[in-house]
Amino acid sequence: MTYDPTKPDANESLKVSQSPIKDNYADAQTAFSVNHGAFAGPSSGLHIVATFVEQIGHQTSAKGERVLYVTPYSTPVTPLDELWISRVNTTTYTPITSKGFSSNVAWTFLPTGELLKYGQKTWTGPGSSNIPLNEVNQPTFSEIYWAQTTSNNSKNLISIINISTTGLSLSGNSTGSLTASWCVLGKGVS
Amino acid sequence: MPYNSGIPTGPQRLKDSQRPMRENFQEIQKAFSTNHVAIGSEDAGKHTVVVFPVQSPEPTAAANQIVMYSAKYTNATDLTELYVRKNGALGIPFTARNSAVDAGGTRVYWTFLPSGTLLKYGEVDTVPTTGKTVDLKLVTQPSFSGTPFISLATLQGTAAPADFYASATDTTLTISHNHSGSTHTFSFLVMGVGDPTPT
Repeated sequence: MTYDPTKPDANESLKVSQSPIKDNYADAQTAFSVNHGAFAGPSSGLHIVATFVEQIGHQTSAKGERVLYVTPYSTPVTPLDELWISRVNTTTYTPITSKGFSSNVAWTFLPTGELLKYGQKTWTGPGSSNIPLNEVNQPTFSEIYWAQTTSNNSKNLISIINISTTGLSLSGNSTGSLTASWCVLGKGVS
Repeated sequence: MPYNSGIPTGPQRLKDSQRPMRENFQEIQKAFSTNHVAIGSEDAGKHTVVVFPVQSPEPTAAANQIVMYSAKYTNATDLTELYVRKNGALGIPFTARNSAVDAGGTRVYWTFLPSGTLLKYGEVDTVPTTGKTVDLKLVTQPSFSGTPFISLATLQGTAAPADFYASATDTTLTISHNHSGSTHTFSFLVMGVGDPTPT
């Protein structure tokens, strides 16, 4: 049966309209009971769960609105369905459930649209080591807000000697193997 | 009045069916007006707010779907939290945060990002040159799935600069420095993939 908002017809007798009216009531009840508290129940209209079915393409938001939806995130090597926030009246979309890893870099988003990239780097000191922040199959930065690093394997002073949206350079003055954690926060481009 | 999808019945005339049919329409309107823009309005069907009554057991997600729901985060915050869950994965309580003090007196804070990334952070004081360990697997806290990706530390206060390091496993963070004869306070942040099941 299919929900038919044109029923009943004006010239129909009730015995003819009965079936489509009942079908419409049943369809309305079936549809609304998905994700929602049942009609006339104590949770009527509330959301038991919100299930987001995969959509094709990004969903736009009108002025004064934000939109949550699910669509695949195509940037990673293996695109997965992710939950996105579409911001007010812009073309900025943030995959808030996404995260990924390469041999150099791990990344994830904050719901604000800020991107976190982080990882651990090992190199031979004294000297510097470069970490790419613009690897393929990863989101990128349009702006960097903050960065930090710490030695992980010996009592060293590790410093950030250069940072841009494309890369980070760490330096240590000790001799031998140096290992450091690093983290960069900035405006993300999904 | 209950919603009745079985009306009108065959023998009824409209004057008999009018009332139950109107009651059904009223129930539909009432339900749809809760959390949703009212039927007949320009934005009908959109959400004004989404209220999630607490669920038990927790819902699961089918393939090509992601679900959002609220449930009590037992033994962690013991509060109702908002979760997001992918197909075949555990729910991530992304509104949850809490802290606890370990045996060494360090308060360890934690929270999740919606991606399932777990952050543990805090401030550890009186760190000697021999190092001090922070418990990253406290009872009532979610834990890391394997070794965390990063462990960051920053020297606090006006003490003379000292070389130092921070090193984490899934269970502990160790911070040590070489400023002989002194103890220091450090801020720390450890980040990695989280297991939302409390220890």
